[in-house]
Amino acid sequence: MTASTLSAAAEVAVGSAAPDGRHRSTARRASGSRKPTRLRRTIEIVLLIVLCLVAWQVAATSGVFGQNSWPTLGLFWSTAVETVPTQAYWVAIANTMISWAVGLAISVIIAIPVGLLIGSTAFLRRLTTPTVDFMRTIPSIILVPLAVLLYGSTNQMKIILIVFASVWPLLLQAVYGIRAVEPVARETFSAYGIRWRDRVRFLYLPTASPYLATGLRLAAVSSLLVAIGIEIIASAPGLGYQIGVKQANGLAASSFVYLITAAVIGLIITGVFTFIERRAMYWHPSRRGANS
Amino acid sequence: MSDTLTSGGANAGAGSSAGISPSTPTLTAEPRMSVRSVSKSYTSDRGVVKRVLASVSFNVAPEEFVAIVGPSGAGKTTLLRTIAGLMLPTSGEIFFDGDEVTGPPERLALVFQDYSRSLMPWMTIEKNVTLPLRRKKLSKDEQKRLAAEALSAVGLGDIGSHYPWQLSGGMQQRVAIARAIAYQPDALLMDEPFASVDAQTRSDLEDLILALKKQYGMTIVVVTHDIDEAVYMSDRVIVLSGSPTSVRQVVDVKLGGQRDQLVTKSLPEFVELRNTVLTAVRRPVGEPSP
Repeated sequence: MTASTLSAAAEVAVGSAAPDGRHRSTARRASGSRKPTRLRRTIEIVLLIVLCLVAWQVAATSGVFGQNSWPTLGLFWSTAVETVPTQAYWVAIANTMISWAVGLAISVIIAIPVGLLIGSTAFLRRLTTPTVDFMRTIPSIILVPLAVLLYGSTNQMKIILIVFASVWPLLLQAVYGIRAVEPVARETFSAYGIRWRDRVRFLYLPTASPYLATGLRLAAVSSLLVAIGIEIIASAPGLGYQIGVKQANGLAASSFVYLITAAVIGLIITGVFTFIERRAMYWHPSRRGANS
Repeated sequence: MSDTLTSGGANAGAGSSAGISPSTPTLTAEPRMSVRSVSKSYTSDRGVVKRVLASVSFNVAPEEFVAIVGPSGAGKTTLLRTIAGLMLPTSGEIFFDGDEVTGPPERLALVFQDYSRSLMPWMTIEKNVTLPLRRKKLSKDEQKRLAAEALSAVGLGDIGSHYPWQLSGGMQQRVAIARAIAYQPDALLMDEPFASVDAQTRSDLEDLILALKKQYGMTIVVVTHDIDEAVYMSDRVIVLSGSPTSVRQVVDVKLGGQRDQLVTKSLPEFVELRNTVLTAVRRPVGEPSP
């Protein structure tokens, strides 16, 4: 509510260009202008879900995908109720999430300081750009055989490939972030003789934070994709392994339970990191006044 | 008029250090700032040397208001940045309060044209204003008090908790000025401070600066391309020549301490002064100077 009041006040202030500082406007936004939109959006989402479920059921019962390869909603539900309380289910989730979290954390620890350093030094930037551009185009999937050879089908192998996939978007975002520092802002800081520590805290990190948050969101999603993909391909423990094994053994419904679980985890991760990204950008021209 | 011009022309170059204007009250004091034969060259990536400043010299007395004007492309901003210690001259020296400038002097504050970039959008107005005070080892309360005082001095009320982008351009520039005042400098350098605001706001801000100068007794150097503004605000106008830049002419502005947008600007002396300055600025680059 404060944000929208303030943005209304800002509009009034800009409109009148009041030079006397009495910009605090009592004008409030016409209440209720947003509510119908939100309600409509909810209805749309519910409709979409219902439509998807209907399509699912039609696909399952029509048999276009062959016998027993696509479970009906009923079968899916009963299998889910059976599977979710089992230890195997939660161990699979834990294996995927642990390698995801560790891989992402290592990527952040490596990429952000290195990216900030590269971004702030023209020489390092020229030196590393071709290498980074080359390395980031290599899909980590093609490194699976090598990684399995070195570490076997373990979480460690997964983590290494996750880091390989996630370090590049984070690194590039950190480089862009530090390059986005305005020369005028930098000169303001040096004209007032502001200490190095305060420059990092009040200039470099805030400028880079929206870029870092975007990099983090991209890396968080791609880490999950890589983790599950590698589990399927290399039979490493986790959700991906369960999806592959159940499918290979003709347990379509069980395979679907793990598949949907992976999708839900993906949604949650995207939601959380989108939220973080928005918080980091509260001051950014594209987000001003949009969140409270 | 042509007399002034000729003498100005003869003055151009290293010899024009004009000294302290006889009209300034603090004639006997040591200059606040002293620019001595300052030159500045840039070397491009291809190794081409471009000379921007060629031996610029002048002094600024304590509590004097000096306006620097010149044709566009003259190194006005380069000169100001060099005085501010943001870049070092290729040759020559700059002194501030008797000390050679090798980095931004502590008793100097700077106001940029680009207020939207010199205020940090992720910080509230209060945080922006107190930012330079972190250097000064003051308590939080003292910092807040100075910020509130400075904000009210520039005519902004209780807006400390707002963000810069919630304010109009003119108000943002007031915040930038408040930040400079809260810092309690001896001298204020301003680089085209009012070039990005509308005409009405501009004359309001001109009068604000004149009032603040009286209140705080600051020395002020302003770079501007607006000749009316230069004459209206200053005690002395320094006219720069085109690139490479040197001092072409120094014009004393004897309009007294009390300035008024309507009265001052309709004085015959004002009109004559602005014509003198304008003619000096417009003189073609190729014209021979000794």
